[in-house]
Amino acid sequence: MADAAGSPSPPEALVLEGISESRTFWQDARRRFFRNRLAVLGLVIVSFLVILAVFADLLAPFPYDFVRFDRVLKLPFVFPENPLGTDEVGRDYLSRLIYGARTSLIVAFSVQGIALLIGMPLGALAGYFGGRVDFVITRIIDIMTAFPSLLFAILIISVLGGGLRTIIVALSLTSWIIIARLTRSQVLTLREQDFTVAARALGAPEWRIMMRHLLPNALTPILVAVSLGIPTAIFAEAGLSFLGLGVNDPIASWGKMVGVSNAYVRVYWHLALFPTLAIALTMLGFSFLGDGIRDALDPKQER
Amino acid sequence: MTRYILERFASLILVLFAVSIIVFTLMHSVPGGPFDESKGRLPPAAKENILRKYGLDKPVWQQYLNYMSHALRFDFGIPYQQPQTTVAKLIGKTWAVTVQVGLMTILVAFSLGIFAGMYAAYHQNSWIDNVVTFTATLGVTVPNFVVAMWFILFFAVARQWLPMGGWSSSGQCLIGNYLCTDWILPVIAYALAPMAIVARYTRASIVDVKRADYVRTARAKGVSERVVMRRHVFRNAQIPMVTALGTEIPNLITGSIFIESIFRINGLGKFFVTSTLNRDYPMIMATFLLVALLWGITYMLTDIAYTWIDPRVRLGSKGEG
Amino acid sequence: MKTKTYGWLGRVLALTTAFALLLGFGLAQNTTILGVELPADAVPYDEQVLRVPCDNTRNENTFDFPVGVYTRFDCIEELFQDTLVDLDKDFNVIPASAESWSVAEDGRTWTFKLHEGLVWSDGTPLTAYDYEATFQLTASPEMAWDFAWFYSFIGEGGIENWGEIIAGELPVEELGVRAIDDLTLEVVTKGVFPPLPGVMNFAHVMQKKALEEHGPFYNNDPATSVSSGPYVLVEFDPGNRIVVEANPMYRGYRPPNLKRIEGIYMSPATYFAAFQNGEIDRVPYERLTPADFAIIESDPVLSANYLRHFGDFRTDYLLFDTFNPPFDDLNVRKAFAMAVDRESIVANVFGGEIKAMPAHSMLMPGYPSSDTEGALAGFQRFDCDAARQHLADAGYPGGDGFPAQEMWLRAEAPAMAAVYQASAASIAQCLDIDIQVSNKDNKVYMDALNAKPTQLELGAVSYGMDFLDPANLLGIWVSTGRHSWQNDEFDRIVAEASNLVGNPVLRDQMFRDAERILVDDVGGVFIAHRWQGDLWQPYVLGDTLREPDATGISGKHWSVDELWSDLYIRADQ
Repeated sequence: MADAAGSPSPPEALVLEGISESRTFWQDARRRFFRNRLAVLGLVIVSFLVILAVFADLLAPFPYDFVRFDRVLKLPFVFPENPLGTDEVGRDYLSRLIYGARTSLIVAFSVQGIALLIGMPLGALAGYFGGRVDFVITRIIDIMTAFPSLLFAILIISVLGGGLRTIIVALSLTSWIIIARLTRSQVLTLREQDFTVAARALGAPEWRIMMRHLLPNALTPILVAVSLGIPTAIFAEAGLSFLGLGVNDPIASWGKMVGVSNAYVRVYWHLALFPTLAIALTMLGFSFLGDGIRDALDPKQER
Repeated sequence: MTRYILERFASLILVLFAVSIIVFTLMHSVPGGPFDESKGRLPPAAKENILRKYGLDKPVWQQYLNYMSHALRFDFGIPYQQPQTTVAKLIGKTWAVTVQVGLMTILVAFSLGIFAGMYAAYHQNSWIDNVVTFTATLGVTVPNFVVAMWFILFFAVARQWLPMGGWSSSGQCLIGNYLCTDWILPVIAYALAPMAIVARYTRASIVDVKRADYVRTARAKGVSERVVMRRHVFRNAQIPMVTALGTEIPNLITGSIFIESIFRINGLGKFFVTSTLNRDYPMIMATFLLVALLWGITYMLTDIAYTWIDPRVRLGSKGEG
Repeated sequence: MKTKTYGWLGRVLALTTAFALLLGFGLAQNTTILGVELPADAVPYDEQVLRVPCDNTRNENTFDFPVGVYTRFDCIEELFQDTLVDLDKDFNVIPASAESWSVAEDGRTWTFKLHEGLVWSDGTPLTAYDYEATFQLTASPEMAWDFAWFYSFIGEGGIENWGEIIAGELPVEELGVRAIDDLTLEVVTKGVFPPLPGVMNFAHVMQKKALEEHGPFYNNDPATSVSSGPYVLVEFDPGNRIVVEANPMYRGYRPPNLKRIEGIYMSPATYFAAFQNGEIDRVPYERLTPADFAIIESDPVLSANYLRHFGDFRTDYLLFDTFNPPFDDLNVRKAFAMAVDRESIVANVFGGEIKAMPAHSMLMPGYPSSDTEGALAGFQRFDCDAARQHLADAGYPGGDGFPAQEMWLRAEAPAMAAVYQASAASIAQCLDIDIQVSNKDNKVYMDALNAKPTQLELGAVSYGMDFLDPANLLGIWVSTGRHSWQNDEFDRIVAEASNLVGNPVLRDQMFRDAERILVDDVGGVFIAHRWQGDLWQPYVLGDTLREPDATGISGKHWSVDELWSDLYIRADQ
């Protein structure tokens, strides 16, 4: 189920070892997911976006950086080759919208990936070892929570100086917190459970217990958090680009397109309309999908 | 209870210190300062004079200690951008605007949100319920600057009904400088998301409570529907609403950079961006500390509010991050 | 129309005459508080009010240039004092506070004679000692004036002892600006600097007495504010409203027709809407969005009242680090210079001739020693084939092997960013190379540009003049300036021409030769000269505003302070 969305699916072997009834659990989850109409709609939208992002070079009528100075700021359908019009530099707006999907998804997946890489180990360490380790990590989490994440991202970008990579770093710095916190609380509850205690009694090394037993079991809520974190990251990228702190030109970003459109909107409405629609559709798609995954994996939790 | 509050307060102060150190270090690692070199490099002497004037000629750690010793006495310094005033006054001025936006937004979001949520809950699965659910989903997922742009496209560009931007500056006002036509679009655009959240919470909790045994019992005992609602349903539905308030209010009163920038409102959020660009160190520090403080306090108040509404909730569970 | 009698006696005479006329003809005459008769089509004097927008997002704290150049209330400026000299519409230096000036034989000692009878609004006579005190204020290290670089930047070494004083090595009394007597001010420069009189257009004056009693911000309160200019402060509420009224004590060269000027604070984004609602009388060009321009150009009344001017002769250009590969290769630079389709970019992306003209060199036509004949247009023209040839000659045939570039912008707003993006796209598309454009914030950009050696490999930026002499706009290109381009011949000619006295024709030719070197050796790639301008309400009239200059351009030109005297409001509304 998660394959199409590109979310990391847990390695089957680990899951099997962790909980014996996992096969039926995943089967159930899949059934629940596909019975949810909104979730399927979300999956369709997200699949569509992924296809746009991956095959942008084939799908876009023009390269994202191709300019024609005789076609600057043309409204939609003035020229049939530019069905969504052209932008303020003379580039085909449809093509830039398609490439914008790529930017959004690169940022979103990278940010969540890094968040996982930082948040899971830290959270697991804190939860498993407790004591001083837990204290330090929890304090770090506390401090990072106190930062208004957008203001923090703006400050980081002003230090590191903009661009795609900086945005990813700036957003990752705050997005690992929720993962770490989740992992910690999951590991906290799991480490006292029978299979952990048994493994420990059998003399399995600590890191092995953690890798083989605790993390896979903590995976479900983390997967949910990631699937809901993706739209947050897309929103943040769009927001920062909207403020002019985003990716370099000529890379296309929906947020940047909306930000620029503000000065043109009184006459050239198309500059604002299409990228806002794209952002809205993407956010809806990922939210539906995320909610669907949550409901499927965690049936107890009410919406 | 007192002990809990004191503990929370102590940890809040520690966090604020950590925030101040991190922000101070970060902002001093960016090139530039309160001088203009856009024509070319300043002569060293001229630049040194400016740095000395702002106390920036000392090592960073010394500047930090200096800043903090003043900040502890509630002296947050002089903003580089407007040396005629003080940071406290300037924050007061810009934040006042943000708070106006925030309060209006809270008013709209919570009154409409609760109303819509209750209405949807009583008319479960009706078309109104569906409309509310759909709007709520849209409100939560679609970023507010996108909604704001749509509003501008429709209400200001296509139909010139409302001003494109400004705050008490480009429209008619009902009373003095208050309740102006240019308040409408930003407030509604900003209110949509919290309104959606409130409506969702309200609907869900009322639906839950309605099904609960004691409500059924009360109803079976012949207590009138109105009284059931007031005494049981609404009361129990308050907890999720407090949660919503607790998470939304700090956001709302510290303002949205997006809303302020798209509607050109000179509030705290927009000022933060210009402060960063102008390397206005005292303003950057003050903004961060203010926002961190507000958030900390609201979290604390939310927890305390729980105990009032629901005596079953006990405070002081240790070890929770 | 303007009375140019400066003598005290003449003024008193004019006033009494006006008074007599008033008595004689009742109220039939429409005269100002200074007794100047308004044009026949003017509204009554009490309604002579101009409303200008003030930017409520700006960081500003002073009316006075000597206090903070970058933090002035920019909607109401230059009204509380007259500078030593002024410029007319054709940029000739004309007397303002100074009635005459001369230079000693050493070419370094300038003597300015003030008009007799100038007076502050509190009745105190205006003297050369006020000018001296003002200059000392700006040079004092404690003041840390934001424009302090300027007087060490003009000519070689600037004003005598300026650098030493701001460094704290000499007391301010040693400054090369001294009052000899009440009416005589002496300005001594370290080197020979012929354009000095024009630069004295920046010589603002503050009252010595007020500075001593109330400090440099005395103008921020109507109670302590004192003016020797055409207007006095009557209401000061920044962020809300600033109001000035005609100064009844004004004895200077530009007596105002307007009774008052109101500065109304609003968000810059709402200027145009407020203008269309008739709430304000003027919108400066930098507050008009591309969409606003589209509306202006499609409306005959608006477009007839959008008055272009030269502004600060601003030129947009690309700059390189020419000390390192790949831009140390002249062929690469020539390839870039010839790959920019300036004409198309200016016509379509920049917004057409209302906003800019294509540039082939640094000096905008109209500026002294500029290439008005187009003799330099051939060097940096758009010729994609030639550009590709140059790139191939540099060892990158078809763009192969050319390193990917990141071109930096300096905190550009969307409309200007589009122009530079288009330039980058034009180059990338013609040469088949990869250029990204990164919009940096001002401080980061300038820090990288100003660093020696520079950290800016490829950037786009604009520069507007500081004073009206080629020594300024060409001087910034010498190898000790901010750019990383060195041409010894260029350096030599500019240095020699800057100091050349007594042969204006030769001086002019030398600057032209220098500019030829600049474009041929591609110190920068010149893209556009900006037309600046203002949108005015049709009922705001005035010769300085509406009458064209020698090149046919109307509008408020850069630093033409005279404008504020002959503006008036027409009655036929």
